[in-house]
Formats: sequence, structure tokens, C-alpha cells
Amino acid sequence: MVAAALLLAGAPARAQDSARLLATSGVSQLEGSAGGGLVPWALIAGYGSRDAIGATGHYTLAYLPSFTLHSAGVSVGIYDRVELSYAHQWFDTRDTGRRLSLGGGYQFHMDVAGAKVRLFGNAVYDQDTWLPEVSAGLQLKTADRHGMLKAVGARSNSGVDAYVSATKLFLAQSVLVNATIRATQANQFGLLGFGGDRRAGYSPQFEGSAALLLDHNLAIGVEARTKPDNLRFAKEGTAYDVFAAWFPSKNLSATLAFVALGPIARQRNQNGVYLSLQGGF
Amino acid sequence: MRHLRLGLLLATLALAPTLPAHAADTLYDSLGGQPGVERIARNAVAIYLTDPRIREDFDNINPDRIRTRLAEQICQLAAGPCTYHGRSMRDAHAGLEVTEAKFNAVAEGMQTAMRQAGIPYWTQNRLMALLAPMHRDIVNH
Repeated sequence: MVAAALLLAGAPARAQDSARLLATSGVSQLEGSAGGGLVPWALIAGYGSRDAIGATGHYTLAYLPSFTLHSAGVSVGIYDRVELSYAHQWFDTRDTGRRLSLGGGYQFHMDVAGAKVRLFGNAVYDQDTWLPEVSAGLQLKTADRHGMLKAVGARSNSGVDAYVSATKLFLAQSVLVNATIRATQANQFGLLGFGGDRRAGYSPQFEGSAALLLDHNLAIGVEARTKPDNLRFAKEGTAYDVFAAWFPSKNLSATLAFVALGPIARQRNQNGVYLSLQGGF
Repeated sequence: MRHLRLGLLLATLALAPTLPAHAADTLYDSLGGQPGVERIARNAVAIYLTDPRIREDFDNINPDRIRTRLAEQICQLAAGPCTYHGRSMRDAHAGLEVTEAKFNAVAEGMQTAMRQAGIPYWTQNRLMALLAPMHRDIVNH
């Protein structure tokens, strides 16, 4: 935040230019960082060039067989270098809550504050080298329901994820590829707390995305994201999605996906529909 | 399920237009040869002269000259039978204060110019991939 304030203090008069090319800042991923649907990418949020500020807001809904996951948040991209984000997630157990003896409609909530810095490279311009755009980021997560999380075996209701993402646009092939390594203690992204009675500490997780640009405003792709399996009471596995993202303008995008989040809280095969709307500049 | 997902990933990559239909076809051919390249250059310059973000930068430039140079440059980049006779990109833009925003406005104009010329999107991207690294030499402000 201090870095952002310093950068903003030195900003030139024209702070907003929406100058980056359509679709080249990705969409908002589940935790509010610029990326695909599940995976944070190296790209900085919004359409601001290296001389400007960009910003986005998003609302995302994942409707699963046993649960509904919502995410809403905002992000700011500063000089195509620094990204600050905030997202609030709420996880509605619907009727499943009753079956889990939580009560019908029981909800878990989580706040995620994110910061990302682009270290080097540019995914779009560096077409004559293999060098990707590489960024490092943090996601500071705080879940509510502290007592409930303790009861299922979680060590804490807050945690920090650290990740490094490499994103490369192979423009001549119309393909975008991203790879992310994340160090995390989070159970189900953090909604079920951090660390557990099976494994307490950090573990490295891999996240990958591949997208094909079908037109200047349309991309399809796939993602995979491994997750820790820290809790004894319920198994946790890898999350996948297959998505289509549509960019009618630099101010609006819509992402529709099929997500397979694996088992969640003993409820098997949480395969569902994911819809995300993003507005920004 | 795991194999299905891997299959989807591979299918996505395999769908990618990595190879032209005929190995002998150059990008120049895909852009429609000389008439195609000239049409793209004509469209692009028309856009640049009216785009409020960049038109002032073309005030002291002869439109015919820049059309000719741009067509030569596209032709040469696309492996066509031409030689670009203009200055290097760095020298040509040294007198202008070219921001990244202006560079991108020119890039967007080029995409529009190709779209107007009926160039398929994946072919457009093959040319854009050759133009994108010029960011390094052109953006100087």
C-alpha cells in the first residue's frame, strides 16, 4: 500500500489510458488477481499502459452440485507493474449445510487482499524471445467461522499464499500459456482454513493455464490447479476448468466455464458452472 | 477423467494454427500478396490520420510516402519479395515522443486495417507477432 501511495503521488496528470490491447490483461481469477478463472497470471490487472492506472471490478459465481461459491472484488493495476486487489468470497452450503449439521444455508466467508509485482518480461511485446512475463504475488486470506474451522481440523483461519507466475503469449500461434507455482497452507482456497491435522505447513502447488485466441474478443482455454490435502475429515484434490472468455470491449468481459473442483467437505465431484463478469478500464 | 482433461488441454494446443496449410505459403501470400499488403497499408494509414490519439504525430508526414514504406515493411517482414527502404524504427521515431499508449494505438489500427482487408484473425496475429517486438525500439517516452 505504501508503494502504491508513492507511485500514485508521482503519477502524471493523465492517469488513465486504457491503452493495452483488448484481452491482454486476462480476467479476474477466483481470489481477485488478474488471471484466468482459477489461476493468477503474471499479467497486471486493467488496461493501463506502463504510464497509467487501470482498474477492474468483478463478480463471479460457481454453482456446484452441493454448494455455491461467490466472489466479488476490485483490483488496481499501477503502471503495468504493480497490482493491488481485494476480493470477498462467500461459500453457501445451501441444503448441504443441513446434511453436514451446520444448518441449512450456512455460509463460510473469506477476505483476500492481493499484491502482485511484475518482475520482468512482457507477455505481449516479447514475441521474438522465449522470455515470458514473470510476476510474484501474495494473497493474504482471512476466513470467518474460526470455531468451525478449528473443529474440522484447520490450524488457523488466516494465511498467506505466495506465488510466482510466468505468462507467455505465443501470438503467431494465437496461444497463451501460463504456469504458476504457489506456496500455500490453504484448505479449499482458504474457505476451510489454513493448515490441518494431516499436514500443517506450506506445500508447493502447481497451476497451469492454456488458452487459444479464437478472435480479437474471444478466447477459450483450460486450467488446472493442484491444492493441498491438509484435513483428515475430507479429501481435497485438483481443480480444473474449461473456459470461454468474451471481451465485447475494454470495459467489459464475461467468462463462462465448466469447473471441476473435486470433492469439497466430503461432497464428491463438485463439477459445476462458473460465470464471471468483469468491468474496468 | 484425468485423461479426458489432459486430452482437452492437448486438443486446445493442437487446434492452434501453428502450421500454414502449405509449407511453401509465406505470410506474405496469406496476406494476399502485393495487393493485400498494399490494401492493409492504405487502410492503416487512413486510420492513423484520423485516430485522435495519434493523428497529430502524422502532421508533417507525407501520407503517400508512409503508405509506401509501411507496405514495404510489411512485405519484407512477411517474407515477401520486397526490401524496406526506410529508416530504422528507432531512428524514424526518435523525433517523436512515442508512449506505449501511442504504440498500442498504432497496433490497434493495424489490426483494424487487416480486419477491413478481410485478413483472418489467426493470420493477423502472425503479422502482429512480427510487429510487437518493435515496442523496444519505438516506445521512447
